[in-house]
Amino acid sequence: MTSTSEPGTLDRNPNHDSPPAQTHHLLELDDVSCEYKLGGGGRFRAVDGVSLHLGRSEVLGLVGESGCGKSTLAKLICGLEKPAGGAITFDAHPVKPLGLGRRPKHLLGIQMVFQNPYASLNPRRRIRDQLSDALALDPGGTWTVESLLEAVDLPLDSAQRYSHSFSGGQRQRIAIARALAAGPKALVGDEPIASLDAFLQARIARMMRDLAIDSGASMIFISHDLSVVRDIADRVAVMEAGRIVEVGSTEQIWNDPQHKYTQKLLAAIPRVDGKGIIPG
Amino acid sequence: MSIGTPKQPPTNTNPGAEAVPGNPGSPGNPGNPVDPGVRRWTIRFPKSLRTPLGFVGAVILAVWLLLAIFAPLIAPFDPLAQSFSRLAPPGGENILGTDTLGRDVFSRIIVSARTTLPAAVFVVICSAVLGSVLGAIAGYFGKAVDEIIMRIADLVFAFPTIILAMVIAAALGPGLKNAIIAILLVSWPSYARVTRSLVMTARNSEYVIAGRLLGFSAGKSLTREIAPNVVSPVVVLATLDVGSAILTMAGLSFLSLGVVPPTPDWGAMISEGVSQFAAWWIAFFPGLCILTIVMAFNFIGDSLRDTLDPHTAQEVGETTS
Amino acid sequence: MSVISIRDLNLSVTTGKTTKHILKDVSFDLEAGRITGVAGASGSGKTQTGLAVMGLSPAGAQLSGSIDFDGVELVNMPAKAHNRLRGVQLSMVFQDPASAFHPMLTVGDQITDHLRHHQKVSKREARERAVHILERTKVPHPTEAVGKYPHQFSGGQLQRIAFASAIICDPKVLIADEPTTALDVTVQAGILRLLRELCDDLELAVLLVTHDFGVLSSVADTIVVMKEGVVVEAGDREAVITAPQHEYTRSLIESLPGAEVSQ
Repeated sequence: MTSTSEPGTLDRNPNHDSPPAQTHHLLELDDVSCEYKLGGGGRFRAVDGVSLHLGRSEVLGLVGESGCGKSTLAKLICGLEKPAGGAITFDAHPVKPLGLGRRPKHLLGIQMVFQNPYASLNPRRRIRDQLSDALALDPGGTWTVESLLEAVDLPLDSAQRYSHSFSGGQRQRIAIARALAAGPKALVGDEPIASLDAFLQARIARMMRDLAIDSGASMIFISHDLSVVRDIADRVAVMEAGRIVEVGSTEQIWNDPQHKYTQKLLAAIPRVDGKGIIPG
Repeated sequence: MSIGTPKQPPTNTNPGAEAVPGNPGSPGNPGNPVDPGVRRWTIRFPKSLRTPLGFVGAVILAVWLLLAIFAPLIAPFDPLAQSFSRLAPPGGENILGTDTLGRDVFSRIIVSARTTLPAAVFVVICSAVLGSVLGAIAGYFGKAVDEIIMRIADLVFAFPTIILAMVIAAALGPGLKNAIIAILLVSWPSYARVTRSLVMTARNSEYVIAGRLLGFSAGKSLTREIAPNVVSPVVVLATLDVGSAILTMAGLSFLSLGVVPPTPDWGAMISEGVSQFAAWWIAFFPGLCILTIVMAFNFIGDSLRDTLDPHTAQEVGETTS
Repeated sequence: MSVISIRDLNLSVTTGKTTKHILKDVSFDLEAGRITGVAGASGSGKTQTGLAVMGLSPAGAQLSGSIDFDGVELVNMPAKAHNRLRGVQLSMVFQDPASAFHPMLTVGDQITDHLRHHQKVSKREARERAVHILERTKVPHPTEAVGKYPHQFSGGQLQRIAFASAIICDPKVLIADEPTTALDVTVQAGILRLLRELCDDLELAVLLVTHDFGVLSSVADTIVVMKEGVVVEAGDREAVITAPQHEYTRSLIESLPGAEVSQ
């Protein structure tokens, strides 16, 4: 399926002996696969030969439906999952799976915002402490706990509180602030808006984009919601059953989708026009 | 764990009084001026004592603590002094009677509390710390480390507590120190098990993973991220365990494997009383002491558990901060 | 004519010493063959409105006002009487189909359980009805499906089964609480189409609770917008979406990704 799309946008590069071409991208995935063992002794290929790159100061939207492997891909990028094959390169360093040891310094530039804001903040630690931990990673950074809270539109007294006094949207903003505090070069958002109200989704997504780009970072924004992705992404990659089926600029994907699956996804988005038309 | 002790003195006569008004409604009340961090440690414990049983337990324990602290002032006689009024029944000059050597039972009881209570608390703290550190290591690192630690724990679990404690105490020789070592060796595995399973759950949670992505080492991850979420159940377990530590200690001295005579000790006194069937008070009152104090710790532990248990954790999460 | 008529519904929940007012003077109607969509952010009381109709308000809840169901007053109705209506005349579909089913019982047993309880039909007949109703909700291979377990179905199929279970007793009112929120967008369209069909063919009065204006724009006939327990706007779908009167409605629609509204 991969080969049907434009090779240029896919950046599929089987020749490993051409590193200069790879170095100008911030993050480079080359033919990455990931497998899970199934109960019956079989294997499930969650990610199947994905090649992708993330440029500097770029927002890449990764779109797909549940079970397509997009979360696994996010974990692979962060080193939380062991690839079955292929190579991931971040800033000219290979991304190695995170074992029990400390995460290597050169990989700390990849930070993640998780889907569930109710699970991604420590319930027994103050917001200030959790933010300070992240700030300590980037001593040269300009952020402070206060400026972070201000950047994500939270009152300054939030720092003294614990996570359960916040709503889902507020928690997600704290999680974003924590990821930003570490001074990431690549921010990975794994469905960061999926558990939020529709009215908050676009706002939080735009906030993530603005904060990432303003701080000089790039972002991979994973979502099943094409309409939000369209709002914030420069390029979009569409994933189906572990493979990337189409990559292109947001405008091109939106206006001129090549792959059937992309077309199907786009057609399924309900329009808010009050016409009573069920999509699809 | 160590924070168990500073929290324990419920001698503070009205523990929950100032705490409660701030609690209800706090979830939707983010602007609450009370610092949540301070409230967390000062309020949670007394709040849990506001259950009827918890309150009874706290009162009993408070009385015992006072008796133990002021024992030298309260005790009417020297606990070791023998007199000619042997086996005097309660009610006379010796309010709880005298034993076979004419020693005052009341004085012996309250002086005995001075060794038993601190020893029990000490042994529980030590085993809680030892057990939870081992359990945390096993749970966090898994694999071989986990196997080795937990198989040793299983080995200890395979024996009845008191019998294994007896074997160890007998091997080391009688004495308070050896009794403590024996109890420590038999009681750490329960902490290890509890902590291990809690840590295993916590280490896969997203906030711990987020910490790992921020470059936390295993130690930092354990102490900063996981420990605060694991401490409460361990504290509950430890509180419940003080009672059984007292029982085991009394059991050991009953079998002459604990505190060496003539130092007064409840277990030894009961043992002495058993042979003096007519003088019921010799065994009865130390027994009553053990009963009340074990009950007190169990009550406190139970009400602590009710407020801190995962099943009610949501409610607690809402009401305590 | 309205099947359900909610008038000045107030709901407050007391926990400990605090009382929270969840619904304040909520009034709207549900009509047969029409889908009434209730929109609002989380905490706006939209789900609680649906639960109040079902008689499933949380413990410690005080209800006042009126919910008139074909001349029967549902507010403060005795629990036993409500039980006789629930599942038969009033039915409900929840957000997460995966947790709406018992994992250890077959789908057939679960969707006929209330049928057999309320209408005392035989097991065989219930099974036939189940096959029929699964066919109706377009679950693939209905004859085999009744003997399968929930984990053998995808989320979208399970939601179809949940709809089957909800309509098997021929209810008059169907409350759908975020029925597509947990589903993929491509599956969502199918479920919405099913909802529309069921509503039209069975003359159901549907209460559709959602925070997604895209969903409302697709299937709702009437839209009720709620904010903090208060109905701020109610009206025809097109009017509410294209020309919202209340500022809050406008802000909700404006907050949606540009792409959805503009096209």
